[in-house]
Amino acid sequence: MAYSAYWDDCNLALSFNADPPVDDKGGTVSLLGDASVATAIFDTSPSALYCGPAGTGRVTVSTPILATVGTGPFTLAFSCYLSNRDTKQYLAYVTGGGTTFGVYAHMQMIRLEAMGDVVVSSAYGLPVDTLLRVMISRDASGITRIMVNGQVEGTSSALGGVDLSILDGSLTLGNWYWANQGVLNGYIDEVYFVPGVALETANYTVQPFFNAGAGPEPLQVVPLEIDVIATRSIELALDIAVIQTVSITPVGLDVVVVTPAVLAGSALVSDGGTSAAQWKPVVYIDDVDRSADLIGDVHVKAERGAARIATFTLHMTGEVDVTGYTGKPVQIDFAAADGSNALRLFTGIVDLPALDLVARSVSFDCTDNLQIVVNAMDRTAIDSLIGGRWSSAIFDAGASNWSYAQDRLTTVQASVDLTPLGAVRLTPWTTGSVDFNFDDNLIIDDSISISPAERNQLVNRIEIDFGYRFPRAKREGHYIDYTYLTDGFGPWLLSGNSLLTRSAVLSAIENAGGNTTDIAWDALPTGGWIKTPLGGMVPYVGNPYVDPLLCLGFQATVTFDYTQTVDETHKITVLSQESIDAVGDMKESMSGALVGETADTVAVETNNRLYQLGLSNIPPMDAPAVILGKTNAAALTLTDDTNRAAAENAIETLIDIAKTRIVKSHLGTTLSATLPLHPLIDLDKTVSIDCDGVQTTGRVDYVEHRMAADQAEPLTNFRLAICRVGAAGTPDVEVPTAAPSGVADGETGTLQPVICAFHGLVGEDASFELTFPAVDTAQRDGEQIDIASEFMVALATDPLTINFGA
Amino acid sequence: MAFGFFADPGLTTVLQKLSFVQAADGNGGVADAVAYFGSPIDGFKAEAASDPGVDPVYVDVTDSAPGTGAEASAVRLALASVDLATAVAGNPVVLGLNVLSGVANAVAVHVRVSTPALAVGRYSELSLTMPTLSEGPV
Repeated sequence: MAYSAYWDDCNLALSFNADPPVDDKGGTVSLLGDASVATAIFDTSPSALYCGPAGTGRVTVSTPILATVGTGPFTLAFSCYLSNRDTKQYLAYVTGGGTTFGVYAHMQMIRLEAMGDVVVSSAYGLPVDTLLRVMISRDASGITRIMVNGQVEGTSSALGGVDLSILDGSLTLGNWYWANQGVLNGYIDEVYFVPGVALETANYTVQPFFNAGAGPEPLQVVPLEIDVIATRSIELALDIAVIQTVSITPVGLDVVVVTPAVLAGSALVSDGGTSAAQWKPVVYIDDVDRSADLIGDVHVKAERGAARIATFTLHMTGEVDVTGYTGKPVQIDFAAADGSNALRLFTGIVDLPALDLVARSVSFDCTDNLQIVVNAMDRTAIDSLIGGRWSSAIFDAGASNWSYAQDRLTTVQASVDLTPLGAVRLTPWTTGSVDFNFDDNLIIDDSISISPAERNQLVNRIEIDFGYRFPRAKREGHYIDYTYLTDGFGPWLLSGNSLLTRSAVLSAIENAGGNTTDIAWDALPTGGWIKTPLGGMVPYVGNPYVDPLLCLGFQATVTFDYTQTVDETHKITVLSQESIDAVGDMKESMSGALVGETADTVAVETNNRLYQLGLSNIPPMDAPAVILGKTNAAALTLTDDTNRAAAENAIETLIDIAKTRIVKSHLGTTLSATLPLHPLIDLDKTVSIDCDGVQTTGRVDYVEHRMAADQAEPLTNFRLAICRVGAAGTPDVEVPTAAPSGVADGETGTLQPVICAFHGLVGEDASFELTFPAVDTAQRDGEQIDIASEFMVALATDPLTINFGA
Repeated sequence: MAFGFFADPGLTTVLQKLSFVQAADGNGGVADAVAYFGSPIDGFKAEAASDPGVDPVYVDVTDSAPGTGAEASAVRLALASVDLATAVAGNPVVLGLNVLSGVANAVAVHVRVSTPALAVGRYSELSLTMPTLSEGPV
């Protein structure tokens, strides 16, 4: 073995080649008595330690060489030259804390002793006046060997697993550690100790140990001879990143300045008052004004939650690339005839150009591309835009981003659409502050119509049935305090009764399937006087070898672990009591389910068991705390998609879906009206109407702008969604969405006591029995729990009065 | 597809113009819009060509007819709508030392226009511009 590789591990290196001697590993070396550095005999030139026949010489080294040995491997190596092979002469000795470790020559052998006992010896017939190279090693399996001049002369397993650590023991060479006993008459040289490794474990060729004083031997340099015997080409792939410079196309900022009244909506280009209105649609295709080519009508329509669409027709001349229009950007403004006061009605793209060869025109169906725009957004942006809730237990995680957005929207009382300028927005359904007030002066005569919601379209109660099944860990914490002595130790013993063995107790617990988490033994007395059955006293002396195996009783904590499946059934009612009172019970139902899946790939019970038996060093993830005398429960760690938070999110998602469904059904009452084209009316606007005896306020949910070339007046038709409950009632108070509490961790039952029986009386078999109470089936079998809850939806009803007058 | 301005956060429609409506008396309030800068193709980055990775990538307002019509000082730029109020009018907004491609890395450039009193009409001399960029793989 190349010892130099272990130079850093070595913690003692004495070559005695200097006077005073030096430990190359830094220990303090002290020569005591007649010990000296002598040149007559040595292993490595020029000198060695000499302890003469006066019997007073020894060397101490301050390094506690055994401090880190523990139960692991080590190597002690040295050279010695003995002038006497029969008397006991300590060569190396360490002691501390009652533990001893030493090597000595005696009776023509070299011996290793530890804890006062001889562990291993060399062969008998040790020569004198000869340099001996001695190595003692313990390998990882605990086998200790003594080797002299490269030959294994003794082997022992006695030190297997024995902790040899002596934390503060210093080393003595050539003598016992404090008295002049067993003093060497001879020489010692090249002493090394290497904890952590057995450098030799079989016969070997003696070689220089470490080149002490010079550190580890340099690594050998092995020359590599390379013969070129052929030539060939080698292909090397070159990854060339092409960087290009680009000029970013500027974005024009089109600032349209209009009169303040037009911007406020109080004056309309479409309403000429006492004179004819002077107006025109302005259509841009791919940023080119094509208004001069418009023929026929221009329509723009927008509806809550849907794409805004536009249609128009252009007269064509010359060469026409009809398919080239597809996808081209389109903007439509409504402006005064001179092009001023232009306000945007539509921003989108050409969806479908249709060629009319007879009329020499192309009709354009255009869309604002809502679905594509939303589908292209990443989910973080969608979450930020919409808010609301989403649950993988309710929705399809693999759905497109558009579907994902629609899923979220089922939990929000709002819609996603694009503005006339093409920006994505979230538009609430409920009425906001009034943007416009319209009356008879503006609304076209007889254009108002009201459509009340049908009763059978209303939903005012939704019953949600949500099941959540999950496993939880349970732990029974049995406490046993047992002694079999009825009249004290003396009478029991002197009556010839048996004593309980500790192993019988542990076996009884293990055989019952329990896990001993803590145990304290009532030990036998070590000596003194004990009482006789007749009341006298007799001396008693314990047996230190046997008594630790016995006990007079014990106090133990024993656990049993198992899992239980819990079925929570949430019966959730979401309702509008105000609506129910007004129109009766209009009920729907919804359902959902989630099964908790443990994140621990090892079965929980098995994992607990293996860990407590010491067969696994992986602590179980979900062991409930031990509560003595009780059964304790704790939820298991489940996957993120199935844990309690996921279940609560699923429940809250269902509740919000129900709330949204109820609100939406109550927006079924609509009012439609027409007025001269009002470019500012859009889906985000709240409009108040006072016309033809009708007074109401609502949010626009549909708008259509019509610019017909054959009509003098362009028109806007809009529809208000009005939230109505029925007859006026008592408004409900909204109950915020929050998942009801589920089954909690904690105590689930009280345990019956454990019955112990030791059959130790004279004539009995000294057996020990433990009887644990049977596991309550209610604790282990599936648990069904119904949890009911109710959530009220507060409907923000809009005013609606109709007065026909007298 | 190269880096550029888009009309939507999903980078599906190339942006040609941003439109704003203002009142002629200058009291019509502010008009906001958003331009999205980026590239829908993953795996690339854009840096300032002048000194890639050192010089910043920024968006500026350019006025092709200074002194007439709408001025660059009527425009504020910011990377968040809440920062528009405190943005310095006419100043560029820095997007960073580089911009990575991909929809998730699109940078929203918020634009606010607030003009003083101006004659009724359409003003098109302002534009959002950027320095020459170098594009390459990440």
